[in-house]
Amino acid sequence: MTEGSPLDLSRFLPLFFEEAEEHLEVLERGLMAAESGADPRPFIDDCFRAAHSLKGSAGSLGLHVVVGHTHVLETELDAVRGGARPLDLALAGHLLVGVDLLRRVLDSLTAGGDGQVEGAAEWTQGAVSGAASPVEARPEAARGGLRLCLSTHADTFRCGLDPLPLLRDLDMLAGIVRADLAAIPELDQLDPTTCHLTWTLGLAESPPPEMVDELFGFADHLFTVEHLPDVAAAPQAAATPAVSVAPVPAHVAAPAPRPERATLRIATEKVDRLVDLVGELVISQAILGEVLHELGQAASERVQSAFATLERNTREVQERAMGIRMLPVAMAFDRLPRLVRDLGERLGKRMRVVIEGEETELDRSVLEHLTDPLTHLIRNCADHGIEPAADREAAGKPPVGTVLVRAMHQGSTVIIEVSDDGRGLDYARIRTRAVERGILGAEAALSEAETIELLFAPGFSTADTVSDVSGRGVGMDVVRHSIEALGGRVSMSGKLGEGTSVRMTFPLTLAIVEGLCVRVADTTYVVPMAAITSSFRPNPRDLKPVLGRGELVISQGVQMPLVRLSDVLSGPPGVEDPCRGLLVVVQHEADQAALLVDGVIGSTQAVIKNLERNFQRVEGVMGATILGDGRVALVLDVAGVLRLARRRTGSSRVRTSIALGAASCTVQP
Amino acid sequence: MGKTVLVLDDSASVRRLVVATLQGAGYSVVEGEHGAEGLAALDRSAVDAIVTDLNMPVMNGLDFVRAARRRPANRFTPILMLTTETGEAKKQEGRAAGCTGWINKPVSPPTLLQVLARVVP
Repeated sequence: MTEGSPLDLSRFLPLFFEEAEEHLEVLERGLMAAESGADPRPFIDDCFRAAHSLKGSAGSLGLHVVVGHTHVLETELDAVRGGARPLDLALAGHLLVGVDLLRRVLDSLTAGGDGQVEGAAEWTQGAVSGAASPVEARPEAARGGLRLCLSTHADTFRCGLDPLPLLRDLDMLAGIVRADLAAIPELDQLDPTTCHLTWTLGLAESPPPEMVDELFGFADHLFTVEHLPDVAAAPQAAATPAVSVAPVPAHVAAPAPRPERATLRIATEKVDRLVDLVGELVISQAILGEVLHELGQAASERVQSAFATLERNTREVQERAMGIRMLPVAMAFDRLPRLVRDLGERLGKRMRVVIEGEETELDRSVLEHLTDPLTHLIRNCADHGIEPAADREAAGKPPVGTVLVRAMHQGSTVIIEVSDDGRGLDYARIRTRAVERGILGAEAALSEAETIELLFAPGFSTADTVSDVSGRGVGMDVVRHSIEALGGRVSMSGKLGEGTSVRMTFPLTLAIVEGLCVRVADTTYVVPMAAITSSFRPNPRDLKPVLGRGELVISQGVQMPLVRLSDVLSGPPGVEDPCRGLLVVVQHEADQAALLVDGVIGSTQAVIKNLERNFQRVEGVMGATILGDGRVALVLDVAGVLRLARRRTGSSRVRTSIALGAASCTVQP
Repeated sequence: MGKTVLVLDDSASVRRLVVATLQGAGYSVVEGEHGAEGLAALDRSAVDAIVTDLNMPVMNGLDFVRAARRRPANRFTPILMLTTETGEAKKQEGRAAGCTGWINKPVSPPTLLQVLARVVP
């Protein structure tokens, strides 16, 4: 370690915070498991290691606040690991509080603060309520007195210092409570000239600082001595706040190399840039394809076959590049058990969370934005879905409510579902409430699907109303908005008394869509292939204008609204007479509609460029893409288009009419 | 059998004090005025420890430590620096070079012996 000024170290902080987050999650998972009554043993080692590495890296970066805090966690977990004390409910709870405080300390540091968080110091000194039990049982605490953490620098041996004689001298006044071996690498990785040792020393009484200085001061470039807050000896420890031998940053042994690590951290910008470039590559390849196509026979066979190879390789590169951004949804799910636990505690309800399919992978950019909607949905389950234990038992349900969060693949989509076994949806009451709130006319008759649609209405999202109604709908419009902003879709289902389920569907990779290029006047749109069920040119007898309510068309015996894209998206109008154009039938969930277009250009692999970076998000449009001929086309978001079309007609006759009218958004390619 | 200590300091008075202290405690001593003389001394004699000044002409203390650490025989020989500089930067530099410990000037004979005893048991 040859770091000079503290300034140099700050370069490593972002990485440290990222690592710290992972360690915190490991700790949380293990402690939660213990608290929920599961056998915590499989987690203890992981937890201990997490606390230990966190302390190690914090030490190397001179983050004393974090070192002190993690040390307590580490010590407690070590006692558990060694079997000296069980990880019971009280201890797990106490440690969870510590993890929370630690998270806030880290948040403060991340935000450039000093890491001083209210309650953190008290926690490390054991003054937090409920902390009494964890410490009393610790064997070394019975010795009373102070404890020191003696860390050696990795260079200790190389500097010609043998720490053992010092330890022998120390033996008079201290016992070695623990030699920390965790940092020692595997034998084949071991450099015998590198020192990996840290000791925790128990001292009968607080040594005068001069004595510590006399023992270690001469080599304070190699030793770091920290006074550990000892909870058992609280009065004493409080009276002697952490004293360091010398005002130097902690030089905890450098983190040992981790040979098992098979992953590589890459800055996300780099990956995004790569994916962008691959997108460009796909586009240039498409342009080249177009040129070759125009040349026809003029292009030699060799060029054609070389192009075929290029095409194949490009596709593979594209898939791999997309794959880099895919991460397991566990990333977004990991916090849910904690959330459910906390919510249950706060609401006085008994509930548990079951997670399935956490290994399912999803694009990073989706995952990053999934936390809020997920939190929202789980809160809904806890607030409104799950009933109090007594009510549940009266209804013949198990007293503990279950929130099921699962992720799965379905075709080219990933589905994430949040469901509960709570009250379910009371359709009659939702309707009543909607009428009261003026969202719905008193005479309207709605199907269940249409009633659910009401829950997504912005006006339906105040908590007081909803908690009275059926226990559903707090900010569902917000959830829908954020999911659709991610290119996904949301739907909900539920039966009275049998629970509710919210399903979010995301495309596997956001950046590429298999689509059909269609033309309306001089504008090109891309319709995602997955949403298309058929296309046809209608006969006049298939068409049914409904006065004031738009047009209907019958396709294969099914009646559906006819949608003119120029109406919903404000593009230039295309053919007037549907019989002279083409209808593309699209489907989203139960909704179907026929989009009227002038003609079909062909299929395409659209590399979606996000519009939001440069423009506002536009409903009904997923993004833009560059076509093989270099022109820009809008990629349709079918769910959004259907909704826009539906909105022209008012909410009641959802699937039977479409009104013509001025569009509310303006989009120009 | 007494241990041998190499003492390097360009100040004759300090050197005399150190040498006298060590000899009084039973150590054998070889000495030199600067790092280059120190390296020459290491070629001639096997030593159990080195006590050296930091600022010296010809070859200063840190350069001497680096050179000594490159000699297989002295890779792990304890080397104590006599110095008035206690800054963190200097200590980091010392660690990178391979210094074992620090003794503040002015040298107090009891401290010198005490520290030496810790590194040369």
